[in-house]
Amino acid sequence: MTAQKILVASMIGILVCMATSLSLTAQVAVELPAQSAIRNAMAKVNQSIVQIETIGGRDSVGGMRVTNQPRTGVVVGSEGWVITASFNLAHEPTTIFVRAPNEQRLPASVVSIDHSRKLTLLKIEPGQPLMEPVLIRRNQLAVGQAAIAVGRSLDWQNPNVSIGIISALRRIWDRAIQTDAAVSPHNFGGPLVDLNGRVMGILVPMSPQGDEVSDGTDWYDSGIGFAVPLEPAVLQQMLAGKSLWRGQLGVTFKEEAGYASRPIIAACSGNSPAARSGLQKGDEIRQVDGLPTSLVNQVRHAIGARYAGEEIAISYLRNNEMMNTTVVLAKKIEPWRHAMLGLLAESTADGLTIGHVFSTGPAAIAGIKVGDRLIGINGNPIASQKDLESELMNLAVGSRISVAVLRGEKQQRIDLSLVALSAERKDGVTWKAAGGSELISLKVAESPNVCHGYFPQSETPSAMLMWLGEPGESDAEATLATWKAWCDKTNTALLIPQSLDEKRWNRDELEFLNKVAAEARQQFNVDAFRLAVGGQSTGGTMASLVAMSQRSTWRGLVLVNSSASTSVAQYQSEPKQRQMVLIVDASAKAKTAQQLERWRKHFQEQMMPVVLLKTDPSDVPEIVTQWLSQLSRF
Amino acid sequence: MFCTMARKRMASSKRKILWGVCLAIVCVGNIGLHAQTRSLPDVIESVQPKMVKIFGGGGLRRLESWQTGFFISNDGLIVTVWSYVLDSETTVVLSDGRRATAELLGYHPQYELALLKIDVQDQPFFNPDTSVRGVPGATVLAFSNLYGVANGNEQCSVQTGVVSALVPLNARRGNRRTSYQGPAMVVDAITNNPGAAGGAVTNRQGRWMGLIGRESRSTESDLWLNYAIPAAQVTMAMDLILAGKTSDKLSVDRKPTEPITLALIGLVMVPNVVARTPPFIDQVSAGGAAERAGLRKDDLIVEVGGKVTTSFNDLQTRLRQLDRDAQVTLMVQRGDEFINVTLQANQR
Repeated sequence: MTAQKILVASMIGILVCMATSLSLTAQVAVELPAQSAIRNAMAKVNQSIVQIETIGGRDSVGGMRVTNQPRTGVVVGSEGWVITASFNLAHEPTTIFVRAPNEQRLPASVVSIDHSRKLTLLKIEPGQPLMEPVLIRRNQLAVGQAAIAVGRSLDWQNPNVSIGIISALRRIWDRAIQTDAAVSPHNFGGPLVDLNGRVMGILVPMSPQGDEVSDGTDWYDSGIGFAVPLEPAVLQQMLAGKSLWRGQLGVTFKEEAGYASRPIIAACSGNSPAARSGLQKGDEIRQVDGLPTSLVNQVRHAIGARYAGEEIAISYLRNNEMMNTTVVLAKKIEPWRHAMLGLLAESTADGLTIGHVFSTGPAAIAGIKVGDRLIGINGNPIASQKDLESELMNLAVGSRISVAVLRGEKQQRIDLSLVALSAERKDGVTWKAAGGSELISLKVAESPNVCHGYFPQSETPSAMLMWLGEPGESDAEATLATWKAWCDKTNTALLIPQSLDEKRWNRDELEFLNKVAAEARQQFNVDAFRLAVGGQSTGGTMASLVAMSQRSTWRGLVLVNSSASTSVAQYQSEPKQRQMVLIVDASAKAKTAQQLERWRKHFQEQMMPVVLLKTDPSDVPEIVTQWLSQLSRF
Repeated sequence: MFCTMARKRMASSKRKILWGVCLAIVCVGNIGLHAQTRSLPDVIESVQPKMVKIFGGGGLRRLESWQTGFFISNDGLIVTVWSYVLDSETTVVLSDGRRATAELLGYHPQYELALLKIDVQDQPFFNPDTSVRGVPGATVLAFSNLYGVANGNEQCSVQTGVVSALVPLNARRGNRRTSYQGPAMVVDAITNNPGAAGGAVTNRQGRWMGLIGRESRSTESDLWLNYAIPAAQVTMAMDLILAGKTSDKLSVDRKPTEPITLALIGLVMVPNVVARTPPFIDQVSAGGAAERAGLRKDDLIVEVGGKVTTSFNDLQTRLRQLDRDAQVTLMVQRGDEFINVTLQANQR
């Protein structure tokens, strides 16, 4: 071996070594994606990202202020098909323009909407074919892979970009993938792409808490963003002009904690797909399309991604026997009309006792009397208000039922036909008075809010009203002074929480309000079926949000001279949620009267029992407490 | 990898050569790595001494009285944002915990930047001459005392992200538009937090790219913006401050003294009743410029000068920026048709 040869060998070594160091550099860069990789990916998808401009429209959507700032869309068909997040058009603009790279501004029309994935398909007539991006199928994605969120909102020339990874697959009931890249109106409607510039999904605001078009926008730039993968089969339907809706089954489960409880059906809403396919109260869903479902959330997950009109196979357990059925999911479940017998009933040590019978109701006509104990319906035993409620949630208005009552020691069977639950204030109801008490202050751990409470002294459970006055109203004593006489007369407890902000109630305070009410119920003897939240002016608007945030808890909503929050409009009556609304007009203003009448009509359309009463301001406590004392009506 | 393969192919008599090769790999490999990409911790360690935490006297009620800054010369010149924090005596805390009272050399109100000076020598600093321009997709590191979490001799917090976009700053603070309206480097990390203003943005190698601006919301989208003022603009402002030319106006859009009005071009729009009334023409005045250009009642004005008019108010704002003698190009929507017109206001 000569020295020369050694030199040559060493030089080869150096060359190899340089190559190695280059590849090492690439490895180091894996922790932060290499700039060149990002640029390559952007270059591949750039031509397929368009800018969307709008003229006119509303200035807020679901409580979030929106602007006419340019938004983003993605080409899904070279002949001028563009998909975008429905949120980008939720302000209902007069005119929509799409501006593709190398194209002039072109007017666009809405072709179809996927209400489940919150996507809207637009059509323009481009001068030349648009560039379609490469899509990557959902089953090829992995958690942890690099993800680039792209928008064309800040600058028409150059897309804006943010970097992250795929945080999770199959989110929002299997409709979206999750990323930690910054997602906001700056890139809603734009694509989430991989390092090869392939489209993994369209960036859309989403929330596990709700399906409204603006739900999830408050998570902008938080590290929690969502993208909806594009399914070719779904796109085909949208291109054909077909709008899509989330598929609804129409069942209510016994337990609400979806992560911990078995999917046992509590009720199938009247004309729902579930009811039509033969499912009924007590059935336990064990499989959906062959996938085992041992928890409520597994059922939700199996159905969440399915569209209205799709058929699913359900296996369920009834009386220890496995049964099978198929269900065609529906676009909408009709609101449930609650039924009643026409009486007030309280849970007592002896069982469920009739406290009052409405004079012209079915119970009165059939001969049920005050003091009777209700012990069964259609052969099912009844021992409490809760039993009666869960029996009624499966019985339609007009059904003929057989009621078993105990009168003294004697059992009787009484047949009657159910009528629709009404929120009307009935006359002739007497109430149990209670002794006076002191105003106490209630605190909730980790919350700066203050709440005062008044609990009349009584042997029997009281009704409870959480009263939200004008924001910043700090004199609880003065508030109590106007209510106290009627609280004592009707045995009604009063909670008077205060807003932190002097000018308004804040949505963040919802949690506190629900917690403080739960605390009060735990500490004092309160009838869970006569629990209402109400308020005046903006306090009433806040009260409507409270009532809808825990629909099975709050039995009554009281609005005094006050509209409900617009986001309440999405709720309809459900079998499991027996909520009633009292609207009081003490304003003597024509405009307020009109507004209140609109809300009365709205609640009525959603099948929520509602009544609108006109009165003098000084009579508000009387009317509200009396209505409240009749809330446990069945 | 290469070593194993080589070992398999080579006979034992050639072991000497193998050793030479391996040695070469180890040596040059290390050198190569250091020259090309220093590790992230190394880069951060080299940047931290250039950063300072800045504390003001008291600050206003509920407002933080601290911000961030960095050295731009070896003798103690510090650049930071111009804010109320600098209103009273200003204390500067270096990365090693040393503290000094700073002298305010000057500030530029339109750039919202200030220069401070402390007495130090051989101070590590960002050299403006070797700064780099951020392009979308470029990796960035952001150094700042966000939320004042760095106490005592603790160093600045570091965040990473990429440059999202390079756009003119169109933002507001409260209800007022920001004075600085020049180029902004928008980043995808949440950098613009209380106390972070005046922090530094560098590239992956620690070279200076920009200065973290004060917290602002985008005028267009109403979202909180995360952005930095590019190094080139900061350098320009520093030069102006040092030269005492702080009252020089920047070349931002100057409004004409006599702008175009709707009346001047002969248009009456549909009354502006809702928050965002679309700009529909209600009336075209006889003999006016609009009539001559062929505009009609019910036309929707969709563009002025090539930019979309999002509402009646937007149309008004845009016309106010045009001189009354200027030619105006409009696009209107009439049914499904889009028509471009050019018109000039009536001569006086």
